[in-house]
Amino acid sequence: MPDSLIAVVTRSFSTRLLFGLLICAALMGLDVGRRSGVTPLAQAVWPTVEKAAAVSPLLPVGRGHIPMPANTPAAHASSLLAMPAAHPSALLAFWFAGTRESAADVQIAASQFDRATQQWSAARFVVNRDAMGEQLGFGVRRLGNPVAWLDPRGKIHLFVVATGLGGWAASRIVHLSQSHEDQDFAALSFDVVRVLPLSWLWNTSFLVRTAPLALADGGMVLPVHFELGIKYPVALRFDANGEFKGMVRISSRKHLLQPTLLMVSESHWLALLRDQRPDGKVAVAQTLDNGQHWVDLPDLALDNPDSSVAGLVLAPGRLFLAHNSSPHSRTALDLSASVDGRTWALAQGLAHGAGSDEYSYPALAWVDDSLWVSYTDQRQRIAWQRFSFPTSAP
Amino acid sequence: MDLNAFLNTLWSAGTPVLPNPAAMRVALHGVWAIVLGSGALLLAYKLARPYRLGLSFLLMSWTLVPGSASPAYWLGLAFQTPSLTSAVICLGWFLSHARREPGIAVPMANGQINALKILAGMGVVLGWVLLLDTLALLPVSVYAWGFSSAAFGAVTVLATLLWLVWGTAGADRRAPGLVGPLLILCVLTLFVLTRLPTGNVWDALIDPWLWVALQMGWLISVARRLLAGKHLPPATRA
Repeated sequence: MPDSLIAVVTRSFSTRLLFGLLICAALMGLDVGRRSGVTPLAQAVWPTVEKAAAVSPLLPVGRGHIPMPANTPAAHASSLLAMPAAHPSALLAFWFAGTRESAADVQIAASQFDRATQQWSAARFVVNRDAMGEQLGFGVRRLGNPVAWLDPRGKIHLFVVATGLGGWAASRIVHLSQSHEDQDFAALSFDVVRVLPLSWLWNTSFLVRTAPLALADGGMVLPVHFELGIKYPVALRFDANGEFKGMVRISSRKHLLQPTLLMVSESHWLALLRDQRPDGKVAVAQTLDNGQHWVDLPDLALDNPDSSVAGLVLAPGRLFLAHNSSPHSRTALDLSASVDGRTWALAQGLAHGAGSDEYSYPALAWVDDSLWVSYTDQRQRIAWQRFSFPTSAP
Repeated sequence: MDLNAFLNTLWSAGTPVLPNPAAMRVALHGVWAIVLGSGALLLAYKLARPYRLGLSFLLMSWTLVPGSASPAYWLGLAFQTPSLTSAVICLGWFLSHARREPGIAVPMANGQINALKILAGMGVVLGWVLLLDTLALLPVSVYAWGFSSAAFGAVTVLATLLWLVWGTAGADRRAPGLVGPLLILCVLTLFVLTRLPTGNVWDALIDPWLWVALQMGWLISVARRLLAGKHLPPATRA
């Protein structure tokens, strides 16, 4: 700063006050001017699922395994994305696959369930860490847990866990979006948008796992969690363009992770959570004001062997939860149903094994009048099941 | 924008403005180049000026190389982009030290030193608050508030107050007390124009390494004071 200017602006208290206020006002004006106005309250939206509104039992109509990419003996953490009725595919599935979990060759794989053939397509990799690192400008050590979201324009967004220096606790969440909206599956590719800014500590230790909650404005709320030493869940708000709009802590407890969000009404939502403690139950938190504030509720009666759960609401009073139902292992995976989100009853056994068998990390979606479930089978493949609701006789 | 909308925007943490992704990539390399270049200049103080500068510029150029050949690619993997405060401090230090031989210190007025100490103390406290918030040990989410205009405004008002208190021109020094307020105002101006490094004002003000450095500096100064006290003759000790 030139000496003469310094001399002028520091001459007396009043000149300093004037100069200070001018700078203050200019900076505040610039800051507020760049903001897009207040984001409206988050109103959750009911899926338009008339068939599911009628209370009827689930009828299994299909099951199997999603094809794996070649030479990938390990697979985990699938995410299902329901596609619009006019789209050639009913569903897209994303998961991570490679030689083993956390290996350097792990990539994000995808497959589509084709409406015409009623078959899953051959899987292909859509995100790899080297390309991601190139786009980010910095390195990524490993990839995991993809979560997909379709914005109102039909563009697919992927939120992927990408680790820095360390294990999963050094994770960040990378937001990617589809390179071109009109791509068919064979050309499906993603560009990095950014790493979500969620933590001061080198932006580490936030992970994503479960599906977002759709909002009436076309945006969504993405449940994530922090896991460096302690574990706590957080809800992230995005607008219809996939722009980050803020974050709210879901629970004050320090052992809960991987929240799945269920709407009870437009403003009343539940977060059902994995409990890290031994002998844990599925934990619950609730918001009554559109996700602005959350309170913890007593745990559900459902056991939780430190394992991810997935919830889906089809219509008022039609809530589903896929969860591991045995207290100490992931050998049993069930689908439960509820009217209020607090009391659950078994609707369907999904997979039951013994010993070291593992069926875990479920995902749910509703498409083509069917409830779809995908889950990890023995950490080697992604299994799927499809259920319909038979219409009752007139 | 009417007054109501202005006030709502001011208080809301739900209207973050994030930096342009391309600018983030440029900043990652640019800021690490400044930090590493300054570090090289500091560590190579025994070398003659041309060699120190050469080494420093070499390291800067290497850091600016895109892709995995750059140290920024690997430093970003672990530590993301340093804060704007780190960048401005390192750039200021680099510019002032690149022009002179090592060992020639520019004296500072006592008032200026005290002002910087107070600022450093504020940085240490802010770092602790943000660390406790990251570990969910505070009842409110301080980091999330850093996306709001209100947080930005609070820091701007604080910088203005520091300017009012310390921004006097003394007779013995050119601009004693100006460094601290100017540093913050410079950081805030860069932040409001670029939103770097993340769109959160706390990330612009302090990063974990700067926070560690401030505490190390404080510990070293305390240790020096204690050692100096020990070596004084008994009659002169308090």
